[in-house]
Amino acid sequence: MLASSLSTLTVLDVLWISGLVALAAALGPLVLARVPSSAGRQRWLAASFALAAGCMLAASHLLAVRGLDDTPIAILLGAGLGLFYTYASKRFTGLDALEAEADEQLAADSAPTGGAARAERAADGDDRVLGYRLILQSVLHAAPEGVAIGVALLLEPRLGVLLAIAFALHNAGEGLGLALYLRRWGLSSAQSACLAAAVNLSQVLFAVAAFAIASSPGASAPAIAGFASGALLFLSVTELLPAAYDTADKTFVAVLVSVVAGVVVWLESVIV
Amino acid sequence: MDLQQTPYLAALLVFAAGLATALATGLGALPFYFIREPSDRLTARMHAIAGGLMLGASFGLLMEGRVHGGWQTLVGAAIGLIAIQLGEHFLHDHEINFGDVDPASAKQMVMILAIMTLHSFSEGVAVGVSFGGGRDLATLITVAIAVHNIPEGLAISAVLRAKGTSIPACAAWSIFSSLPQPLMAVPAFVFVELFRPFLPYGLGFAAGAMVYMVFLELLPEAYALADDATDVGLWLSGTLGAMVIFQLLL
Repeated sequence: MLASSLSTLTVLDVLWISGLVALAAALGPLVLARVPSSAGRQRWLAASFALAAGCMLAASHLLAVRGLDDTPIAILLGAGLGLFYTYASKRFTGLDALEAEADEQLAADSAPTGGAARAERAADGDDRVLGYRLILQSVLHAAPEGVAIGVALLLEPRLGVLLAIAFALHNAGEGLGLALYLRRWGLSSAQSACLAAAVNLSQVLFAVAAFAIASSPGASAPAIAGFASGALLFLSVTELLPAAYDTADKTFVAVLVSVVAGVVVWLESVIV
Repeated sequence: MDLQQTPYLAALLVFAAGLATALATGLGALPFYFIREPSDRLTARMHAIAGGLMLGASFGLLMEGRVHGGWQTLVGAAIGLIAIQLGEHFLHDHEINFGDVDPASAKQMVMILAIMTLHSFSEGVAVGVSFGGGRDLATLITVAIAVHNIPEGLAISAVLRAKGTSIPACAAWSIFSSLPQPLMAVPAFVFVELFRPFLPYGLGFAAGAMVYMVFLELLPEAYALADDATDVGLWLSGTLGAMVIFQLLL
């Protein structure tokens, strides 16, 4: 089943599809520029986390299910590797420490005197921790996201296009979150849009590499799909969902995550 | 056995399956014979395990539902989500008394019992409609719900035990919270048999309700109790992965 569904797309196709996905990150800052109030921006931030989590959960599930019938061992080994990649990338880059610090700052911002605390931090330059966290997160997320797009385009082009659309939405959400902090550094919307797209450009490299490697003789496309599946699942439940719950009430997050994940999984059955 | 040919026996089988899932909830009280008071970390892990199992089961329902009708499954899932939200909204708006326990603790106890009991309706529906979707799916969903009922029973018992409830009473209340499962499983099964076109609505309803319950109750609680989200993620990912493999084996 797997072999017969291998696509006839070329590396060039993967290049422009994943390029468009990376560029979608620029939409976030442009949307944010039209939201005037601080409360409104906070809600958009929560929505972006929840949207990204829903997309990742759905993509993880669809990638795992795609090859399970034929090659469960390969999928499992790949998923284990994906989990380890995510865990190790957080520990070895210091992202976990940055996240803890950023969480404290977000909590301080939501306190009644949050405005004063933020102004004091911004004067000291500490506010940049939040921005660095988001940039580092975006770069580290780009690997499994790019791999997911590349391998999905190889296994089933329509699934690949669906995941590309989901990750484009996800990137727009991440770009929005990033822009929220870049704004405090004094960057314009256009500058934020360019930076948001730039940090996601490595997705293109990973997508092309995954597509090329998985289509090579002897390579295991299901194992690569498993890697992306495991990494995306772990990213969503250890980073995006906790961040969403910290930023908005649980009902708002639950509705958005459930609807987004459900619709993406359901769409796969309609278009693939 | 062909469930279509023997409707009464089939209904009895569905009731037994629902009753088994309900009784499994009582097992959640057993660890309290060994653990005087469960740590926050253990409770968080139990929530993560329950969440992983429920997400895996829900995706199975969704995948099965779309075979019978994609749009209908989506509509059913939306109704399931709305039903849980309405139930929660109702519980938050009403004052509750529970024996001699102080009002704050009573509200907490009744809330967790009510929420668990409420969402058991959808799980009962899941058991019932899964029998309409084939024996493999029925086995999968019944076992999945029975297994995930154990940590739910643990969660209920953890709250009740902390308020001084005896261990047998914890087990009894846990089973009580799952009684809608056998009660709903049979009508859901009969409903599915009579109105097979509505099967994807039923599958979608159960999936939507379970997914929403995970994101509305279990995960926020797990993150709040855990030292760090990585621990929750590891347990949730592991059980979700195991559930996917379990579906594959069936």
